[in-house]
Amino acid sequence: MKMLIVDDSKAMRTFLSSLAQPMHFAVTEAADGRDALDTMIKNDPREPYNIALVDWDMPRMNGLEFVQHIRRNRDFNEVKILMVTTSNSIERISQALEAGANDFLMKPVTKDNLAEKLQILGFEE
Amino acid sequence: MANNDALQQQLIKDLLVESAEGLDRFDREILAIEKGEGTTETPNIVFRVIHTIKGTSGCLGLNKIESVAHVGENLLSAWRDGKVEVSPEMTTALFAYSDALREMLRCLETTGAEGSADYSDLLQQLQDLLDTTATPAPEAPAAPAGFGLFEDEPGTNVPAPQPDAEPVAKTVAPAESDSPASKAPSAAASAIRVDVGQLDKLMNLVGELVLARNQIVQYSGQAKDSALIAASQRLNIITTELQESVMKTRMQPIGNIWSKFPRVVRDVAHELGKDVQLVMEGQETELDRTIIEAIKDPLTHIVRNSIDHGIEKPEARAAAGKKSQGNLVLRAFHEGGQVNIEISDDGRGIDIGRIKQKAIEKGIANHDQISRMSDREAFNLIFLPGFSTAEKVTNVSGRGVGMDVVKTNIERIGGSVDILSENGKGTTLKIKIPLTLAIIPALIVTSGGERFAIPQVSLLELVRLEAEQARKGIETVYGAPVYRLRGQLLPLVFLNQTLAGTSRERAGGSGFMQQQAHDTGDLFLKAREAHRNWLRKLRQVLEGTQTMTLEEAGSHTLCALGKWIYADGLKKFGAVPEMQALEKVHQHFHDAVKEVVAQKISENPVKAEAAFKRATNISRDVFNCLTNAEKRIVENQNINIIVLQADGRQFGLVVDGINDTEEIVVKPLGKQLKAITCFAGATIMGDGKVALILDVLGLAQHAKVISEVRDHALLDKEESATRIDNRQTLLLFDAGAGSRMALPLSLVARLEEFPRAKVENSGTQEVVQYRGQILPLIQVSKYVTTTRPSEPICSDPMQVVVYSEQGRSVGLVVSKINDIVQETVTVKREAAGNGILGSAVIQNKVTDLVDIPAIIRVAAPAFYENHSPAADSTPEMQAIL
Repeated sequence: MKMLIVDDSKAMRTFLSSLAQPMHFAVTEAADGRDALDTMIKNDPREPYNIALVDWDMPRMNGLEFVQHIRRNRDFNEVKILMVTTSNSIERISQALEAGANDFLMKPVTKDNLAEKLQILGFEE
Repeated sequence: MANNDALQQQLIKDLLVESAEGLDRFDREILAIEKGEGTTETPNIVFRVIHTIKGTSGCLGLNKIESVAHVGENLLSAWRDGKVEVSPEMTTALFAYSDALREMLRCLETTGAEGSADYSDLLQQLQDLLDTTATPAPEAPAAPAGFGLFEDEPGTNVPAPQPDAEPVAKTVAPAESDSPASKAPSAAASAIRVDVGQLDKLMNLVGELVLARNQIVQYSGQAKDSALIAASQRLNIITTELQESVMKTRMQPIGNIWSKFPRVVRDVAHELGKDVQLVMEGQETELDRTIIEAIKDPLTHIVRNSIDHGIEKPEARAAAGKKSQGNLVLRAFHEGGQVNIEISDDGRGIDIGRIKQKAIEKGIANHDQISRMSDREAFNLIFLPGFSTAEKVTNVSGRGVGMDVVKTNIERIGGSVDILSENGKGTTLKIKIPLTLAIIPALIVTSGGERFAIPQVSLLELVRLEAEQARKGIETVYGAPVYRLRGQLLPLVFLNQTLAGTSRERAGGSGFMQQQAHDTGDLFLKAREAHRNWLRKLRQVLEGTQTMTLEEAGSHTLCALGKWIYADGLKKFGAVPEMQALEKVHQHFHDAVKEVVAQKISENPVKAEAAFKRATNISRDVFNCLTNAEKRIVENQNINIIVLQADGRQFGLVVDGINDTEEIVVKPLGKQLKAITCFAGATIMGDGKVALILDVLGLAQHAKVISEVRDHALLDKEESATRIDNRQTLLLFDAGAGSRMALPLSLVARLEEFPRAKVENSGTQEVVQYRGQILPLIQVSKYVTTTRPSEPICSDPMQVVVYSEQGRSVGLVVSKINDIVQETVTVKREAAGNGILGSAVIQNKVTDLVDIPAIIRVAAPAFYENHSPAADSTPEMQAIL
């Protein structure tokens, strides 16, 4: 299973990555929406990403914009998008869900709440 | 959402840049495949290029580009997976395909929309290639589904392909999918994409910083604060480093624009049925991006031209004994702060005869000019507007852009272009361009109280002439001032007169200069005399033999020198500091004189004597001031000549003063001033004042030392050196009855005129006394056979060519000396015999070459008595034949 972690904070990426790897995800990191979009586009289509963990506030291209762009391309219909959010951005999350994000995860992220969301999205332990 | 719009624009811009690079890469790889140089990576690379375009355009909602890219992606993915074999049809179709994508992207760039062009034929062709060759793998159409495409399309069974795709992905995964994922972050860490506009802005700011630095450095030069001086030195060094670094960020390897040439060469060669191999050397040579942009089109044009006009078809090459494959070499290298680019082919070369003929036909030059032109000058004719030697306009090079546009474009960025060609062997174009345009080293000069900057690229040397030397060295040729620099005549342009619009007749010239210096000397002589006389008068006043009123004594304006100072001195040389000093000292002098007269009137001789002593002391200062002022003024009449080169020609620019070299930041002139050809721009100097940058070529044309239409370029030194071997200096003369003859100038000892009365007879031989010897005279017309009847020459005085060999001389009597020419002659020996070595075309006329030893042997056999000539003809003669 391939996972893309999109967050402008290096610490956050490292943390999420440390949670996801034991769950047998091959993790790639991206520093913002643009970076993530590039990584997705340039990825070998025979090995698609299965899920992307996406932060909301990022420079260059934010989480919502990333979702909007990625969903415009039918090639990326399959990838699950999990928005990572704080409680005060919860209202904006609905916009992302409308644009095509699959679910959201409230900060602080823990091993348990991440595992739970992944399970809901159809990823087996 | 406005914000979203800006993002979309940015994304499209990035797509355009990335795709352009990608498609160039795509072309290169396909070209390699065609040549059989492809690697196992090649299908991956080209697939990724198209895949990225498809992915990005999909995310941006560019559905048309996405769908076109999709078809190509299918074919390429089948190729990558080994399901399709590459074929010549396929590479050709793929080239057309990359062009189609480029076209759509260009359309997107210019109109903002994907355009309405129809590519269904091409796409069908690609589809057919996929279908026909992919038949052994019937599951191929299902393969894309496995990549996650079109899952939402009706009729596709989603779960079914999943297990199919899984094993494929697993087997390839470790080797293939690791790399793109791990590459992306690492590449992102070491390199970033920067907007070109941002770099331009940065360069502008650095330019401003350089100006500010220059100001601070100049200011701190006068300051005594050591801390300030140290800080400004640091600022100086850092600014220079910053400038270099920023400049470096704008540098791009020339390979960036060359990379499309393999494709251009392939296409053009295909179209014309030629076989051309392209060799590129020095692709890593770096240039400023504005310059890269500027030379892109000219270079493409030259490359097309070389293949179209230069390289022959394989059959023609074989017939000429050459390899059937033509060679086109692009070479770039740094040399002397400039970038050199050479484009050479081993084709048929330039037919000089045709060029000359064409020039005459088109009225670009007349017969006379053409005949005097060197080969190199003739080659350069092709750079003239409206000159094209192609008999018919071809699709390839006849696209309304002539070589004149190439030359103009290259010269616009301060470059130069030159052409060398050898008939049958090939042509080389040499382009020289500056590294950058924004900040250039320049020489600052003063003229008419204003400062001007001269770009150092056109600067050859500086010559300073003392006033005396200048008077002797500067001559006038047909009213134009020239200076003889190491034996070469250098036309002079007086900057202040040129800019003031003074006509050339009045400007410069030795007469003018002599007059000027003479006048100055005269003027000061008068001043000294006036003062001396006045002193004498004062002494008489002291001795009581003269009287003087107090008013007269105290006035510094009433005395003769005072009148001189205010009527002549200050008016003419008011700017000279010594002159201003003179005025003050002269006033002091009169203060002292007033005292003398006052004491005299009050009959106090002792005090009067003392005051007189003071006055004479000050008077000495008056003389000193006069001498110094004169010295300074004459010195100012020294001449500073800046030897400049424009369009291959040299001329001397005369300025008032030469200040220093400086790095200047070029600022364009406003559009009101753009039309003035003398200036290339402006710059801000250290003291905050503006100085104009001189456009050397424009200035030369304005001053008419270089004609605006380039009728002939200067032969350069190396060129003439290599040509010495096959060029001959020939003396042209009429032997009588209008027969044109020539002989090598090296055989001629002297040209003399003898009055007929001096001719005497010695036996049957006509002779004259010449330098204490007897010089036998030979009437050339008698001994050479020409078609015209020969008449005895009866001009008086007689024109005689003195020929010497082994200490003996003979005089050849001819009717008229015509000219001395330097030419490469091809001698036809058909007309040989009877005193003629052969004939050649010189100055477009058939001219006989005289065989002097043969004539002498017949006419004056005594000449060779005891001395047999070393050979039938002299070595000089042999050299021509």
